[in-house]
Amino acid sequence: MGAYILKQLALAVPTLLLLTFVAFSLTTAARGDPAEIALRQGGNDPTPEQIAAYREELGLNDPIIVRYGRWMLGLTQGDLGRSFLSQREVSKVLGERIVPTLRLGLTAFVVASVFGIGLGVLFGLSANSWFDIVGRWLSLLFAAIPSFWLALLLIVIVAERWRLLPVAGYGNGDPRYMILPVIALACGPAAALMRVTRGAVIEVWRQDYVRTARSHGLREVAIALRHALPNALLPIVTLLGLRFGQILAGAIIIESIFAWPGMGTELNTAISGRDLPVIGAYVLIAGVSFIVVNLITDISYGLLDPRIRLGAGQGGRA
Amino acid sequence: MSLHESLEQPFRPNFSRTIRLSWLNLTWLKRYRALLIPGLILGLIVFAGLFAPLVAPYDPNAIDIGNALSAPSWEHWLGTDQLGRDYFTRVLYGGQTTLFLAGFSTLVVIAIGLAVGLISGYVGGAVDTVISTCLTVLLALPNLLLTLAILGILGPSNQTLLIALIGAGWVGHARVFRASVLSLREQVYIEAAKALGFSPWRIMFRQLLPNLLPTVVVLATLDIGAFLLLISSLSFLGLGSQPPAADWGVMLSDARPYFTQVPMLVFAPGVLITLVVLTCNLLGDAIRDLVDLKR
Amino acid sequence: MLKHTAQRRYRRLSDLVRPFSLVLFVIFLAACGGAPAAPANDSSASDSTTNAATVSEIPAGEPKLAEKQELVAGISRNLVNGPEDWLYAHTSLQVWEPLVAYDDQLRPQPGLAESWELSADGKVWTFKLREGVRFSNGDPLTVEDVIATIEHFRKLSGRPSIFLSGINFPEIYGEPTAIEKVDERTLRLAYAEPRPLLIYAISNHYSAVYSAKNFDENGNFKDLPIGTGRYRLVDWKRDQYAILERNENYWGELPALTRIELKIYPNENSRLSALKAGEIDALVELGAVSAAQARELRNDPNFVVSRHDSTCTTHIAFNGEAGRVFSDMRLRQAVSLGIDREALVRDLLYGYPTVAQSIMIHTNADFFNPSENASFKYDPNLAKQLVNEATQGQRVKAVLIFTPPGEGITAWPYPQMAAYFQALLQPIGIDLELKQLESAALTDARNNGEFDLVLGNYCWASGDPNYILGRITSSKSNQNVAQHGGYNNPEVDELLAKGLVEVDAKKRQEYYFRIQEIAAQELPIAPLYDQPTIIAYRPYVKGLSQRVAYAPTFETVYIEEH
Repeated sequence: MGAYILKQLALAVPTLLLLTFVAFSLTTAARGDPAEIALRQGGNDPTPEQIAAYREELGLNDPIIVRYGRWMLGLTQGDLGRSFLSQREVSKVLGERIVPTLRLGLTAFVVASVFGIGLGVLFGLSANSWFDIVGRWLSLLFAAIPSFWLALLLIVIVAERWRLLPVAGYGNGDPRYMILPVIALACGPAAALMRVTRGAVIEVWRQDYVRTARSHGLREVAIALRHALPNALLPIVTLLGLRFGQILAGAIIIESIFAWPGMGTELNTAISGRDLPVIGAYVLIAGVSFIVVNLITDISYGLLDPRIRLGAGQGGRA
Repeated sequence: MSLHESLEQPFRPNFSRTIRLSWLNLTWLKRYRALLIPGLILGLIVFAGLFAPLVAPYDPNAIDIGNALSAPSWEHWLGTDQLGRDYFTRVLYGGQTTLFLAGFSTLVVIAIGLAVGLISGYVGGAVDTVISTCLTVLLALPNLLLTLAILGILGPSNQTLLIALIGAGWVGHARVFRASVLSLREQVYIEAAKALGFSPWRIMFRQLLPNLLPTVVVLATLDIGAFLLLISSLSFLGLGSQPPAADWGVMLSDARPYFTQVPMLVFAPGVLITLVVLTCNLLGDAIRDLVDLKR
Repeated sequence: MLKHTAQRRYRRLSDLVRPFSLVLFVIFLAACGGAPAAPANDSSASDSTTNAATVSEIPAGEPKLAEKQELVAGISRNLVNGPEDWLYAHTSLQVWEPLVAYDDQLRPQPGLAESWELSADGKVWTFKLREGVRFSNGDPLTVEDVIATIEHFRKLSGRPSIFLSGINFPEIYGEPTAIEKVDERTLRLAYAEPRPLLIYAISNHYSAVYSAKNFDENGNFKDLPIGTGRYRLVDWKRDQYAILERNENYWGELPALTRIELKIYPNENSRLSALKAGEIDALVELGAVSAAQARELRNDPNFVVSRHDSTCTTHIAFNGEAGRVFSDMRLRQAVSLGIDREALVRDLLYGYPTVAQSIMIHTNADFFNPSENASFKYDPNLAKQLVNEATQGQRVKAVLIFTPPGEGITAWPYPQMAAYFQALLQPIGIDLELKQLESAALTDARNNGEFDLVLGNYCWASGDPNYILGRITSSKSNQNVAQHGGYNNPEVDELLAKGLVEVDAKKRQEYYFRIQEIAAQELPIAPLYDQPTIIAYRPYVKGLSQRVAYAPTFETVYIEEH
């Protein structure tokens, strides 16, 4: 296991290099001159000379590989560069954004996991009871509602009409401001998780070894805990890993609807403003967190299903 | 029954036989009950979308600005939008676009994901290392981010939306299929098939693929839903269909300022998106249950 | 048999599980359905109900002032951009005051300079500073502070700014040969050439004054800004809020509001929701409320909606390069004649904007030409005839590009407008292909000439007629060269050059009037409507208005008891 983790960590470095380079080239290939866009903010009308001068100042005239190298060099010294748009240090720009996004994303992730897996297991174990049927329908419904539409309805009904919760904004960390965005963000993933968990539990419950255990008179709770759940967890863990990404990505939309000052809104601005240093840093951060999550997913595979020998390639018996 | 066949037999869901039997003794109605209602609803929506030019009462782009934002009436079943265009007609045409985009991207994404997942998971070794590393790299970019990046470069339109969705979508599937194959590969019957010297292709197509089929079907139905949600989100952000055409996401974002005045403008596309995703998911469930019955 | 027992066991387990599941399930429902989920809700709920109750019952008779004169307002964009920005804070916040202000007709008005004088040859400007002015930190205003701020601008020229009035020092200030202190109250700017329009060009933003102590050696601000305005910036967070407190050292009459909190909602819908939910008392500043939202709010007694002129105009610009369809003046005229501006404003924008009456915005009183000859007509028959003449009966195909319905200050329904134009121009023989491009891609398309028509807008930073007219009509302007406008009329170029150095106000006005008449005929662009700023607020907010010059009138606001 240790060797596997080391190998994955070693892989992470080239992965990140490739990733940031791809991001760099993608943004370079995008339409629009970053220098001009920065100067045109707020309806300004810069002269071609000003644009040329700013291009030079930003080093945009150098070939992509030189710029990438310079960026990497800065990175090794902990310098992420300066935003083209606002002239501020990228570490500052994203630094103040990362906390709101993590708060929102992690809370939504935990909420989705707890409700999704928790309810999924219970529904799976009580399959085909009235309770399961109602739950199934509701989970189907919530998996089907577009998150931005749900957000819209929540804002209009809960916040505007009933005035129960704040409409939008960060509220300086006041947790009440987080409730609606978390619901909008977590409902879809929670419902999907619930579905898969339920399916996995039912599936495992039917397996021969569980039947055998049951016919041998083992207590059902013991069976559920010792045999069914760990096996059902395999597909759930895969999905959890994926849902984490889904939630981070979904945050881009939800943050913009709820005026949440997170990385998603910053990324929106950066993409439309071709703010390369900010995009590069965002991709780097997203990449690191995904690699970590994937690693955790892979490791939990190994823990859950000893038949998968991590790092053994083809598998021992081939 | 030879040893080979008996090895394969229990793991192959046999749709054809189920259906043939059912038609004879009419229990099919009972068996496919779960498929019936969602199937009918989805069928109706898809039909209305496909044949929008025949079904729709108006030209979707006919502007009657003096009659803008009118309430539902006999002339305009869902009222009119801010330019006085018939909303029912626009919902139908919007559905056409949205459903086509979702359906097409699902097919392509599943095909690519399956191919890559099978090869990576089964062949293993260096191939798997390369592929899974690539997958890790690609997965490290959130789906939506990748889609946004592609859309940013190519400029928003339905074609680029399709390219972006497919380009970003297959990665996750490949990973899921790879994980499934990884798990299946260790099963006794695959080991046995290997021991019997079956060719890798035969094992992939005759043992692994049928076992993946339930996953494929369930993922595909889930996918149509997921893509529909993603497409409408992106359209909602202004990255999908271009005016004067509109899909449901665009219509929702256009209708937002009129929510309290003409709620229908926001409800109609939202309810339809939910309904389509819901029926797809229901069909997915029903199909999976049917496949499971055979075991 | 086996199946039977299995099922029975199944049921037993589910019995065990059910109570747990119910609990979880209820919580899930609560979370997804939006029922109260946290105890913190109760307080907010009761707050807002009392709020609603009093709003509907405004006491008749003598208004009573609220105990706390504080305002929470929603805005669409960052009005504070931090120490790296050349202005730090936007004019709306009233943190700084300009040397020269302007009124709602964009005419220069005394600001920190109580008077000014231009030498007869038009080359030397002399400004007399107001007496007794103090900065928020108590220091008296000196000529040195004014010079330091101007030098600060010069130093940062070319640096991007998020604000409308990004600096291009030479364009505004030209190349002064001297910026000098004459005596304790007098400042002189000298030029080699006459510069009579300087007073217009520098009015408001470009003559903002900060304390000389504010700047570090790089031209960045040290710490929070120190200005002479009615308010002090005490705290701010990008994309979240800015908090202002009354400057108790203010030299003039103190305003009633002691504290203003500005909350930022870039999305127009969130903004309106916040107002409805009672999170904010008012929505102010450019782009505060869209026409569609105003239409909804105006019949609601819980809100007051008001519209105010702004300095922005929405227009269609052409790709007028040789070889492109709209290099033919007749086709440009056809587009302008074919668009029913009255109907556009009335039916799609609910009557809020003002139909464009000249290439010059109507709020610029000194230079706006009110004559019919400078205006635009709607005549689809003539338009059709012109298309026929120009193309011998062929249909014209043209690409119209525009940005998606935007956030912040450009919140006009471009896609709907584009669809409307498509419908209007089709019968006169012009087939529009609509292309929605995000703003970076749109700029790129403009620079590459991949368009025939583009929906855009211009905002005047000041009353300087050269500021926008030059950009639109000069054959050397960025729009006409780099962005393929292609408009070239030597007469206009000459008039522009003459206007720049003309000391006689009457003659100068004639030049600019003439340019507007030529432009109405030749259409370097086709203006559509002059944009309003629509604001909305609760009835207990009194005296709130919005200046043409972007800024809300916080100084006249007071809060009634509610």
